[in-house]
Amino acid sequence: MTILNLLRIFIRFFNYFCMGYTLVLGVIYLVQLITALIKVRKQDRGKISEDYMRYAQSPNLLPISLIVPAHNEQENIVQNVKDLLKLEYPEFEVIVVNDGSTDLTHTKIIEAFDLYPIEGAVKIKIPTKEIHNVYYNTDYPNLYYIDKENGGKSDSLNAGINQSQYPLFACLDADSRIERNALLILGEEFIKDTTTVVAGGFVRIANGSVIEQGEWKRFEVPPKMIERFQIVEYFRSFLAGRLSWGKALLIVSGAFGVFNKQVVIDAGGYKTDTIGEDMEIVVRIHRFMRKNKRKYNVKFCPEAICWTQGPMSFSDLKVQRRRWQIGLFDTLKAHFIMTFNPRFRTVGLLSIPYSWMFEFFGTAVETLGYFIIPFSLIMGELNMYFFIIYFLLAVMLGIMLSIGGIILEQNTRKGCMSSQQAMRLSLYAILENFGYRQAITLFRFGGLMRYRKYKRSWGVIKRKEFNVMSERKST
Amino acid sequence: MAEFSYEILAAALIIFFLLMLSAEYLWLYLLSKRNEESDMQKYEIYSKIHSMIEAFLYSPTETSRETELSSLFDYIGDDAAKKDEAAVQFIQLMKRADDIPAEKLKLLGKLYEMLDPVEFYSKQLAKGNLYKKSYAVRRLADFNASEKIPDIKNLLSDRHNNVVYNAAMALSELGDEDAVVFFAQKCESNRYYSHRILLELLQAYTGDRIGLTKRLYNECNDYIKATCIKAYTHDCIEELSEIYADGVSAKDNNLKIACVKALAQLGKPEYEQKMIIALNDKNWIVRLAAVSGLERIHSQTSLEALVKATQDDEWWVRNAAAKAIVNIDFQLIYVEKVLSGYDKYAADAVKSALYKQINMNGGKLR
Repeated sequence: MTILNLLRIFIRFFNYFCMGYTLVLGVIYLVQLITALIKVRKQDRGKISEDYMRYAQSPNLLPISLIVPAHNEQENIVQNVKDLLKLEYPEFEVIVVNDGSTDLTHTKIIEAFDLYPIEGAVKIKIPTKEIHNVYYNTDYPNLYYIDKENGGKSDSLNAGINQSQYPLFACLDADSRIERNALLILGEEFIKDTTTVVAGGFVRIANGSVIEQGEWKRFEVPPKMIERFQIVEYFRSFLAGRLSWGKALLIVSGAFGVFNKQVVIDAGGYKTDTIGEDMEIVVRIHRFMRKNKRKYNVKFCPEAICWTQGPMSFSDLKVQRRRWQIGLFDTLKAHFIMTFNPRFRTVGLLSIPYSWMFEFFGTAVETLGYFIIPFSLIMGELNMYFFIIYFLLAVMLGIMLSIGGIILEQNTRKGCMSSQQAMRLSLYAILENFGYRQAITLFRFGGLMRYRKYKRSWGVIKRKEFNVMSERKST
Repeated sequence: MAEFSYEILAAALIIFFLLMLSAEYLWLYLLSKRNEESDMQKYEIYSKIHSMIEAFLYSPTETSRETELSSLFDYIGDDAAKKDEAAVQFIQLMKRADDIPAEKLKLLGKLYEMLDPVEFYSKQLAKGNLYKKSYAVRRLADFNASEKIPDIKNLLSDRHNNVVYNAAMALSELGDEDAVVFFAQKCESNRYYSHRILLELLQAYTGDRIGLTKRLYNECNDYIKATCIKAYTHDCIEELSEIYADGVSAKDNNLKIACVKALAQLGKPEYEQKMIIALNDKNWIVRLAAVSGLERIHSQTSLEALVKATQDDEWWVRNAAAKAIVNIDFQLIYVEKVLSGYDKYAADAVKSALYKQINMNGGKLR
């Protein structure tokens, strides 16, 4: 048997495999979309009798510590803290953790809030890098600022947990904005169900939207194509992807999630040697709770909204997606024991195997497909007619899923987008299949290929001040 | 033949997908259009009803008032959404009834009679879906529809938890003691409702809270007893102090914690000794609650006990005691005593509390 024959057999096998893979993935995505739609409709009908605003002044809401890790966030940090101090919630504290910034983050925050160092007893529940000082000002009694040695986002979150005095904590990104009622919505989840240990919000792309003084004013379709693609992508992945997993959800976005502090401490706090800390902590909580046979629940609330800036260039997008893929691999590797392990029920039998097969290996399969399928066409191993049909069906399925994401958005957040804007975005649900999706897959695959080099690197993504973004629109 | 069937299959699949896509597009278009319109419609209903009620209340003559009122009800007609909006606006107005002059209140009475919200929500209660039923019971409670208590009580045995919860909340707002006790006893075995939901229910209760607490204390298990005491801790009901004092020696930790906290909130000197005993409890949450009680009593004996508490093994107790001392020791005698003492952790805790009390820019104690 010649090498050429072997190659032909491989290509033929790979083509069949790809077809089966696309079919299974398509079915899974459709099931996810339908499940999410059913859930959203049910939630929508329930809204009439569930008014979270009645908790706005309720002492029954569990107090929350908002932890904001900041590393070189001089553009946004001051405004973000000011906005956080204005949130609607009966009792909360804001803990800003400066993770060894090399820019003006430290100076800006000290000056803006006139903070002074305090010597204080901090209960060390999770070991962290050295804390230089804790700052405070009696004029802002619910604001603490920790200046510490650089140790990464996880280390900053751990330092924030040590400083926090409340039973719940929320991890927030310094470059994101949460809506004023978002905490109330997530806080309510901990009242309705005491077994809730994690509640995640819906992260939306802020690019283009008018945000003034930290408050979202109105939606505008952003000017760049890359930003529009991300909006459609976020609808699809957050609304269809996350809603459908229910309590077997493996990730709560690092930009906005509320956690039961004691559970996180019991599980050992955030793991510091990974860049995918948001997924890792949720998976570890699943593992810890199942292992200790404790009842728990993980929630995703599409109405609790956090606005974040999506990358504005392909190079930034590449950095972001590389980081996500490395974080995914780190987590799956660290919790490999859970894979197909019935002890961990849905998480072990469905969520984690799904992540391995379609999120991790899927990237490699798709990337290989981009090269092997054209090659097999050249070699005559694939029928052109069959290929066109297969390609058309795959693209149409992709479009259906993306439009499904926009439909979900229209069901959860009524009136955010006009019908014209929704239809305009739906155009990008078509266009994203011709270049954008492929680029994302290649970025993710690239991340895996260079895992050793980038496994500790967050990379730098250019950000703009939120006010600048809104001014551009206002003018 | 085989290839032919593949072609048919492919064509069928493509047509099917295209149809699905078109349907999806149509759905998106209609949904987004409907959302846009319903937003505008909601706003229009709100502003129209608002201005019509205002016009009715502020019309100068009887005739013009009649005209305004009839045009309001012509506008509302049989539309449930409009009627609900009018009822909601009526509730909002009644919430600030104290600021409304008597003659306007009389007019509101007339509006209420014509609107007849109790009848409207009763109908929804009878034939609405589970969410509408849940909504209707809460609105009936807002309108103090005590005559509907028997109907609402029937919902306590509904199979949907959402309906049961809202019915219980409505009955609590209407001050029905039996219903609250019934629901609380249901919660003894059914942990579906979190203790915070139960707290919310008890706090919404408008009847005799002392009577309810005594009844729950006698008829329910320790979990419900503790929840009830927690619910009314901030009300500082002195008549319940005996129950609290009794609960301090309970075996159940939750009940003990709730009672110590409630006694602490009362801050009565006659319970100082109980607080000092609680300060030696093996459960640190009990000790923490005792610290806040001693802070409220702030006698010489309390201060000395608090100084001792700064040496507690538990970080939270140490720091709470330090904060209490800094708050009440105006002459800083005890603060200095701890700072110059041998216990570094106690000194650290006091130092930390001091920093949070002193505005370093002013350099003075607040």
